[in-house]
Amino acid sequence: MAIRTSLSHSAAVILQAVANGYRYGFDVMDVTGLPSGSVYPALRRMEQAGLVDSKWEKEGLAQNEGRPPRRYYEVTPAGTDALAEALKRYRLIERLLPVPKPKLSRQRG
Amino acid sequence: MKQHLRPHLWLIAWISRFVPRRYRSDWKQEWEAELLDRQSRLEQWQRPELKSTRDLLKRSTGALWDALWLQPRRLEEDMFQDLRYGARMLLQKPGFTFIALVALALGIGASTAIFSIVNGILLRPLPYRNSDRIVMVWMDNHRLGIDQDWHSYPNYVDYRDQNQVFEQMAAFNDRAFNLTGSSDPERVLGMWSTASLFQILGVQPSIGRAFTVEEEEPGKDLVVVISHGLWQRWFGGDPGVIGQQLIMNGTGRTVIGVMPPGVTFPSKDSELWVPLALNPNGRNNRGGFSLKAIGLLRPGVSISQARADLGTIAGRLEQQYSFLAGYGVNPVLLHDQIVGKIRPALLVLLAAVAFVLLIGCANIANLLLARAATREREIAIRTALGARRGRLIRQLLTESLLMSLIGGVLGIGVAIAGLKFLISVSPPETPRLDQVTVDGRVLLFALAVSLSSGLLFGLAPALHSSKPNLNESLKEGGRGTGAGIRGSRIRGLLVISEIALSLVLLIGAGLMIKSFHRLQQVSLGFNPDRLLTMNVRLAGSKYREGPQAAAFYQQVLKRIEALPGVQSAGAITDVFLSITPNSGTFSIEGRPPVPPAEQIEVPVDSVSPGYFQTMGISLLSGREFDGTEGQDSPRVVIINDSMARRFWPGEDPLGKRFKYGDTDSNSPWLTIVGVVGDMRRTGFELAERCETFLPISQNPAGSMTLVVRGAADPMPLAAAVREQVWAVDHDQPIYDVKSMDKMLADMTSQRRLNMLLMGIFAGSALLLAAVGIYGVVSYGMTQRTHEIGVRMALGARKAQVLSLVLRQAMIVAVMGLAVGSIASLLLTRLMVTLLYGVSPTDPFTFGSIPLLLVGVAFVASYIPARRVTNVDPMKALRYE
Repeated sequence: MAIRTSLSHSAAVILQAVANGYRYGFDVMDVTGLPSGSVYPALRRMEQAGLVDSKWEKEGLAQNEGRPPRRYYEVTPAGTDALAEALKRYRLIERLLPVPKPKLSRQRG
Repeated sequence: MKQHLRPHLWLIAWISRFVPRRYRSDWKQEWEAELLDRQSRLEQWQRPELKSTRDLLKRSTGALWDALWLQPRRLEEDMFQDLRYGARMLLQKPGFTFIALVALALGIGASTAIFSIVNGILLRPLPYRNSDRIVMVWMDNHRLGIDQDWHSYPNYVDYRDQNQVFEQMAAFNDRAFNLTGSSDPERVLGMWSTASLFQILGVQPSIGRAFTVEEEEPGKDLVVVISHGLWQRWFGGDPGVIGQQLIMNGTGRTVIGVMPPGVTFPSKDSELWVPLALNPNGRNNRGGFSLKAIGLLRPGVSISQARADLGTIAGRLEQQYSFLAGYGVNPVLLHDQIVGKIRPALLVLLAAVAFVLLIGCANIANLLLARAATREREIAIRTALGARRGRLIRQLLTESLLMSLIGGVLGIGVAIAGLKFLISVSPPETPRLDQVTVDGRVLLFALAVSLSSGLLFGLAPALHSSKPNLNESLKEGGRGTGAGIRGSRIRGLLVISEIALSLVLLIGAGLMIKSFHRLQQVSLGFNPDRLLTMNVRLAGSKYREGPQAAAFYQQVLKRIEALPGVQSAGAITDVFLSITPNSGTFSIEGRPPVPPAEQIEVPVDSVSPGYFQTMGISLLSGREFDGTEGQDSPRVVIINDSMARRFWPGEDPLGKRFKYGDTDSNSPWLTIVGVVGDMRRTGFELAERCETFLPISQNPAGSMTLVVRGAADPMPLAAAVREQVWAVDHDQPIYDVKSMDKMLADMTSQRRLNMLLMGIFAGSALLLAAVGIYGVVSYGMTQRTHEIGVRMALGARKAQVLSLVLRQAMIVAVMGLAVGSIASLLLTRLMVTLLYGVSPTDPFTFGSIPLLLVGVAFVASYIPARRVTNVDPMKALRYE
């Protein structure tokens, strides 16, 4: 797909962030420093291109917190390939993004 | 949990309205969940409330970009929804859809078929490089009354050397050759030309070479370039053809080149090209008009500039040579030359078929309007639920466009079939018929026509029904407002335009039919029944001397007359005059010389004894030739009635003498021995003109047309007649064997086809208009059943109600006729060249055809009106 070769720098950064385990839109924003107006359209584009996949978190989890379930994103195999390809061009990305710490949102009860 | 200000959530709720509906709830949930999650985390971290709110607000503004990014999907989504919905609506009313699709397919198909012809014949460029710069240069011959006459070689040279407008000029003329050497002799059309012709046309042989200027010399000119077709036919496609001999008119010529397929000039049957090699006499004879001229305009030079420049040269020639007075020059673009004659007919037919399509669209619009009334409640509900007007219009237009595009696809099928039919019935001499195909431009046309028809018939109903009267429509049992003032006004307008358009078409067709009828009634001046004609062209050294040719025809005619079933036989150089007849000026004995500019040219023909009798041309005075006119006896001539009346008015021309050329020319004096009736020799449409006939024995010609009158159908005689010709000389080819009936039919075939097509279009228009009126009145009646019931219950009589309804229908019809009459008066003027003997404002046609339409409109509205007034008032009152 065309998007694989034309993955922009910010798209690659976002994809790497998702791959590193920052799976929610706002977490991606936190870790990449990109504004929401860039992150969400990029995620939607990549979802359309089949590079990421989205799912809703469990109902119960959300109910505990008195809010609707959040949507999280995962990198698909095609996305992994595209990322590997993009990293050849943008070598610094891997070093820029931290490997995730234990997730805050999962630990709170 | 403490209740917080949540402006970010309001913002998301507001932005979500821009998100396509399909994604909206997921989208909203995703943003809300993130924001709420972040909010609770910020609360846990006990950040100052104001700062948190600002942070959340900032994040939520990004949602606007997110929503904007999803916008294209909204269109996609709506479009698919509209299409799905549209398809469902079309399937829901299969009857309506079927009728509309058939009407569209026929309308679009017919338009596309006619457009294919226009495209192939008028729009496609000619198959020559620089085809838009090639110009035929004719002599404008006022003396003979034709504006496309030939030039003499010296005049051509003057134009060629003195003009400022052409890159190159060439001279040529058609020439037929008898090819001999193989089994049966074959007559092949070709031409002789100067070498420059190939450069002007931009064509080169695919094998070998074209001839050169050096070969334009008698003796050096025995070379020939042949067509691809002749190469295949005569030489079996032999690649070693270059250098072989071809026996043409008894003389051997060396083949030097083979043209690529498709190159045929000047006519589509031309197959041979030989150099124009004139002897010194021909090169210097300024009075011998025997050549056509063609030129390639310099880039940027217009045809009117060329006309002006060549006109100066013509003026100079007239001053220089007094006998050239009255001969001008007339340049015509080659494309106009080829298609100019057929252009008006094609454009009129294209307009006619477009009118039929328009009427069809008006009908469909009417059906849609009627149907819109039944859909009023559906639309009202959608409006009440918040559908905006633009959205509804788009939805309704999508339905129309979907329908028109399906109609267009079916229409292309109709066009392909129709085109096959049209080509098969077109006269074979129609120029460029082989160029007519369904190409990209035709398909584009079909698409454009489909889309615009869809818009045309969909727009009015869509605008109308997207603005429902909610109050009325939503009421339980509401009768709907379809019959309201606005709806009926649109319907009235549609019917008015239908009637107006059909009136224009019917008047056009009426004028053409009347023209054709007039032509059929033209007195031909001869009796065409049971006549067989065929052409013989003598060639070869045997007939170089005139008397041998004369003897040949005398023998042949004697043998033919002896055949059983033959009443009589004769021969003439040309039964019908070609565009450029053999002609000359003349001087009458004992009269003062006429100034050159006032002299006229008369055609000169050779005829055999018995020719006039065979043709059934009346002998008004004197005698026919009887075969006793010898080379050495006094020269005699027969003239026609027009000539007798023009030059010897109130006198007996018998015994009077004239000669061709000036009184001091060395041609012999001719004594008039007979006057024959006029015959339409230039076709049906041109007036008779002065003509002269010489006996074949005193003025032998190599190429003659034999006419044979049979006792019964003459076609079976053809083989026997041919046998008799070949019995005298087997090397002479015979061609164009036809009955006179066929010859006459061929002469009017283009006209007949135009009339037929126009008739079909006008007939369809009438039918469509009738259906339209019927539909509107009948629909109006159903809507007014209740009202009529009330009227009748209150004591109105049937006749009163009927006349009320009919009066309303007739008002609409008369308005349509008024508009149509004005439009016809303006438009039929464009048909002048297609008419014969009928004025474009012919009072009979303009008077009778509206009456016909009124009658049709009356019947079409009477039938549905009658049905309703027959209904029991009680039933009508209960009718919902």
